[in-house]
Amino acid sequence: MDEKRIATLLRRAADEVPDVPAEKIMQAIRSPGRQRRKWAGSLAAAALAVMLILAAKLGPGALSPPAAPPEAQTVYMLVRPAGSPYPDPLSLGYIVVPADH
Amino acid sequence: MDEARVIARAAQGDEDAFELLVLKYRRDVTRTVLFTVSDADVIEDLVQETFLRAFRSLRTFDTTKPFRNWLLTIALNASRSYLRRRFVTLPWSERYDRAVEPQFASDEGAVLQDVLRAMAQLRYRDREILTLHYVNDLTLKQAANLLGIPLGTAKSRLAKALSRLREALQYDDVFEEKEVTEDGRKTHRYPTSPGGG
Repeated sequence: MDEKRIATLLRRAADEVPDVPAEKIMQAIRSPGRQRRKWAGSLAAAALAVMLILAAKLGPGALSPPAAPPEAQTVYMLVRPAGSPYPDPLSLGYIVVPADH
Repeated sequence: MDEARVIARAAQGDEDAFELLVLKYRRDVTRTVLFTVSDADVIEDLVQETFLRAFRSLRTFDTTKPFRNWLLTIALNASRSYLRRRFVTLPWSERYDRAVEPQFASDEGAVLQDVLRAMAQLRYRDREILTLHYVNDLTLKQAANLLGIPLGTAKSRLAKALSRLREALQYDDVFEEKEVTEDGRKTHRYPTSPGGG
């Protein structure tokens, strides 16, 4: 199959691409949900900024979980989200099990 | 109304003016995302995303440059972002299985389905250059500019992409010509002869 025939084939296939209705596209532009999503994104960014400022002001470990009582046996726990090979860094924490347990 | 004025009005937030641009360019955008992503299920979302990004950043558009190419760049970015997101959320076992079976609701677009199936076997870079040059009818120089690569690189990329697509099409026994079946429907499957094509 030479280049011309492949080009013809691709163009023929392109002619079969159905149009996405303009109304559906404009929904995304006009949708009030767009604004809500934008706000949600801004809030998430603000929350992250606050965390970063806190971390910078209070020093390393400021955002770590509180220290476990010395008599407790500490089991570290990392949660791996479904489908991900990596543990979620924000899930770093531990379960405190009483020493006599 | 000429396009420059429509763009200027849309850049000021005029949604009706922007709708004129949507009507004019939705086909180009749809083709671009469909051929680069090769997944019919997400096309509507990606086309919406492309136009939404364009609407939001229209103020940054350099009016001395072609609007269509700017929009196609956004469409390619939307495709890339989607593929990256899909890659990250896929389980490891499926990450390197590039092919996505295009799903359509009916028999319509049979040629398209076969081409997309073959395209899905290619690398993203191959799909990108083939789409810009053959589907969007950009010259190689325009495609190279849009992708930010030298013309020579675009040429060699296109040659490799063509060779891979040729292989994928032959492997898939993709048609040579259409034929009409007994019930009057058009079918497209003509097995290619071994070594032919």
